[in-house]
Amino acid sequence: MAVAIIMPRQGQSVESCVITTWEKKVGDNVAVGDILFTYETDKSSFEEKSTVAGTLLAILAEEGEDVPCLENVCVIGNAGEDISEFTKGAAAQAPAETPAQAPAQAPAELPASVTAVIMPRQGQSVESCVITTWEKKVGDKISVGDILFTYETDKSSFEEKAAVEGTLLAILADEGEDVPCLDNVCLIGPAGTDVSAFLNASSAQAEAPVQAAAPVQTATPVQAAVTTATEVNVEKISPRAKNLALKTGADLLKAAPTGPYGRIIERDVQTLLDKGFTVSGAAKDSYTSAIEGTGANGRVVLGDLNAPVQAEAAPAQVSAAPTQAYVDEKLSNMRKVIAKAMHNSLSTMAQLTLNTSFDATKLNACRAALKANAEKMGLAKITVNDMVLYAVSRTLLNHKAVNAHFLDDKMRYFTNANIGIAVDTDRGLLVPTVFAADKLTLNELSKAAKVVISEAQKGTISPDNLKGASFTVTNLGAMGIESFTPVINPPQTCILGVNNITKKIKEVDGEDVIYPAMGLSLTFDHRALDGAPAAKFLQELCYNLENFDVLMAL
Amino acid sequence: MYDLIILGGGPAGYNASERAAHAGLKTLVIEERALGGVCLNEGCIPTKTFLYSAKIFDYGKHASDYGVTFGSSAIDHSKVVDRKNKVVSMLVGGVGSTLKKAGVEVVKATATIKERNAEGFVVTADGKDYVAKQILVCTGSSAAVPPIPGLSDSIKNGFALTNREILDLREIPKSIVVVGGGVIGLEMASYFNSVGSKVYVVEMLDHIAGPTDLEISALLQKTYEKKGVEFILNAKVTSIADKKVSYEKDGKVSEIPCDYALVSIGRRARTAGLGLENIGVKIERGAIVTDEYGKTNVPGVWAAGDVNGKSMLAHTAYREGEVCINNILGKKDRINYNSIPSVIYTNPEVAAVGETEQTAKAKGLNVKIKTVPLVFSGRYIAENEGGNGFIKLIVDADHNNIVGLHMIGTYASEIIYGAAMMVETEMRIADIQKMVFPHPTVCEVIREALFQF
Ligand SMILES: Cc1cc2nc3c(=O)[nH]c(=O)nc-3n(C[C@H](O)[C@H](O)[C@H](O)COP(=O)(O)OP(=O)(O)OC[C@H]3O[C@@H](n4cnc5c(N)ncnc54)[C@H](O)[C@@H]3O)c2cc1C
Repeated sequence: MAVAIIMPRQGQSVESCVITTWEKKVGDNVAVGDILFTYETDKSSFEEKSTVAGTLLAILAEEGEDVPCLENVCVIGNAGEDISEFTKGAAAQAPAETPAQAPAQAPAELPASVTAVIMPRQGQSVESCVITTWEKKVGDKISVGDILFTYETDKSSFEEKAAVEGTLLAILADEGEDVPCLDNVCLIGPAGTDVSAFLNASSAQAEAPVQAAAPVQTATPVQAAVTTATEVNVEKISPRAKNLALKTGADLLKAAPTGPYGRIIERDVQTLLDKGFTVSGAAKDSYTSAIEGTGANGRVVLGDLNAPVQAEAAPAQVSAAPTQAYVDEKLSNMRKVIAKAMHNSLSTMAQLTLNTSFDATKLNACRAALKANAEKMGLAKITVNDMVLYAVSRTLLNHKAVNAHFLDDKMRYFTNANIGIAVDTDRGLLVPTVFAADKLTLNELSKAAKVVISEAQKGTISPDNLKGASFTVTNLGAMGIESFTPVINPPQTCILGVNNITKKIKEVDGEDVIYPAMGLSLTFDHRALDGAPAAKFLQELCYNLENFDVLMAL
Repeated sequence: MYDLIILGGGPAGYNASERAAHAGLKTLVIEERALGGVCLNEGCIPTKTFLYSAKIFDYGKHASDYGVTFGSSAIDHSKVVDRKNKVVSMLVGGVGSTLKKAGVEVVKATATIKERNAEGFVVTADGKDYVAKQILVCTGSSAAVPPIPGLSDSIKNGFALTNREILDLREIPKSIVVVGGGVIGLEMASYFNSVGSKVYVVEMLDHIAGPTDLEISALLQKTYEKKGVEFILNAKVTSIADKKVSYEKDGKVSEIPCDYALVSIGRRARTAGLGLENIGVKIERGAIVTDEYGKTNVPGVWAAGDVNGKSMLAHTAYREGEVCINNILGKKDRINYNSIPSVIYTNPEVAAVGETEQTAKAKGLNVKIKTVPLVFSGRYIAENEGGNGFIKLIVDADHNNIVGLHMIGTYASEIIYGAAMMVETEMRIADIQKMVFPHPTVCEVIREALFQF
């Protein structure tokens, strides 16, 4: 059933609002939470987010049009639906151009008659809200305007009123639950509608909100903030915005235009004022490029103009409209986790790296022998990396601070060598663990490593196997890296980087001999251990690798 | 464990504590005497109650100039003191209940900073340790007592008084020597002059009222000379003893016998004995060194008010405290000392903000200056027989914005905040010309002056 979206009443005294921009056009797919259009009163500007999913069937008021509050602005429904009831005699602008685009990646199996109510976003910085109370229970009849639930940010609390009528079919978040903004909270539709498919789908994907209501909206402000101040064309400004700026002394050079075609609109001026970006009357005339102000609330004052910071002002000729030579892509959750972990690692530890190399002649010989006999002896395909892991597993337990966790006020020494293996996957770095590697033969270790590496790459690895390592090995040798500074996975105290093999010369019995040298880079946390013990570990490891035949015999 | 411990409950401390508590910080104020600090208990407010009584008395004396005759008038100084005490206790009580309502904890004891440990800063009061993540030092100032021969004995025997003791004096001295012709000295000289004492002001500089515009301080001096105050300038006090103040001027030592001597030669930041050295807070010339954000050299330690030795005014203290709290809360804020107004509550009042003619010249600013007498105001004439007050407007000649305003005359204290806003926001003459001032008022003279450029 098609739904008409009305112009909201923003406050008692507001009679009408002007549509600033349409973010969707007729025929577009609309997901719950998508911004349909922006509009402004004479004081502020707002975004209207869709509370229903479907296709935008008709636009009833154009940009710049002043629409009385509570009047219909657009219609959303199923593609092809009859909407004559809303458009009445109005221009036949609507269904004609509705493309047959089926709601392609639409919410998994949500029947068209059912509306998912989402957690509204109360302000830019609010990530999630907690449901305080449910005023309705599953099975209750809902009328438009009924309070469904109350919810709160850390600062204020709100009531969510129903925008559609029907029966409350499902509650997807309980009281006290912290729900990410724009995530589904409940489903409303005709009594008896089967929503089980939807519910199963949502629980399967637990973290990723099903409704694919990917908030497209933030894109604009974000990149606007990146544009340097000189690129802002203060001539491109809406009359309302200009008025407000004149009255308040807003510092337009710091504006991040969010209007169409880079126009500064009223809300951009309001943003400046909220941030305290103003210019004093006296400074206004000689103020030509954005600088930080030192007046009250950051107002740019005369003294700032002479401050010698303007050097950075970009050359003027660059101001030709910057083409978008970049693509913004939201970070995947995994990337976010990695980013946090890596930054945390480097910002909290005292990391440094020791580099060395060992003579890999025997290692290569062993490998060749193992390879030659693999089939005959039923061995796995043993790689150089497996052999390094093996040597590490046999060396670690002699160096307890290297096989340990640093837990701020204590050290945790491990009695087994639980070796993490850094694996590059499509989604980013994963570090699966081979537990108690010191108890495994070379063949067993090689097999165990293959299993976890392949699971990590396929994404089927159990989270338990991504934890618990006491030491990590990362290998960039295959990519020709000669030495690097691996980043420790906290709370581990060390990580070993394995490099490629280069040719080196050493003197044997008075003669220069060329030998294959394999590089090792050990990063350690100086909070947990000192340089000497770390170097001793490396030394023993090199010795074991150089005498791999003996090591295997042990 | 507190988010914030504030040492001292004067204007800087109590105001900051209220702001901090409102923002949700768990806040403790430690105050050894009384909330309100110097300002409420022995500074701004008590002196203003005194001066208001004197003003009424003065009005009475000159009432006949305005066609009014009273029977006889007299001032009962002891009652003035009683009323002062009532006003003070009302205001101090008010601060107490405001803080209580805001959820600020208050401990009445002397605070010392013990150390910084893993948890934060440890402050000891009454033998108990309190720990906070951050501390704000607002211990204010006390009257400077320099090593003038005889002074410390004279303070002990009650001949020499500081601002604290003089406000509780129950008698009107027959004669009093005010040592130091700054704001505090002049206000007390004004009061005792009004109520009938013979007042001498001994000042080391060649003018009174410190950094005040020189034309204004000259007019103020002349006005008080007419009222009978004797000013001895360029004079260095050499002893205060035996009911006599001796001073040296032009190489000659003279002495003034008197009932009392008021020592008002300056204020000293209260940094001694606080334990600041235990956490390494930097002190220069006795005051805590802070930047424009209120930060000291030790992260997590902030200071506001007289203790930083910068402006030594209550409203500066308020604002400095707020700046600290804002920065503690992560909201960048800084104080602009250039637009802080100052007032001398003499009769006539003196008020000023921004550059003076002298400081502008010293800074090499290109300024235009206009002086306009207050008789441009109809109200001033109606209310001031023979009044000769004026305003002086200092304008940046390159940008045409007001950088300073100075005035002497009635209501100056209430008018100056408007000028402070003009200076702070760098309003241009053309901007202010479009503002409407109420009529008839004395502040209209500012508007009048604008049209003279
Ligand atoms: C006579 C006189 C008249 C004045 N008139 C004016 C005026 O008209 N206008 C104006 O703006 N300013 C005036 N002032 C200045 C004004 O009083 C001060 O600027 C203001 O009080 C400073 O506030 P504060 O909070 O920094 O310090 P204070 O008011 O000095 O408060 C500091 C507080 O800290 C307490 N304290 C100190 N050490 C400790 C410790 N170790 N433990 C616990 N508590 C401690 C003290 O007991 C005090 O209560 C006047 C001052 C005087 C003396």
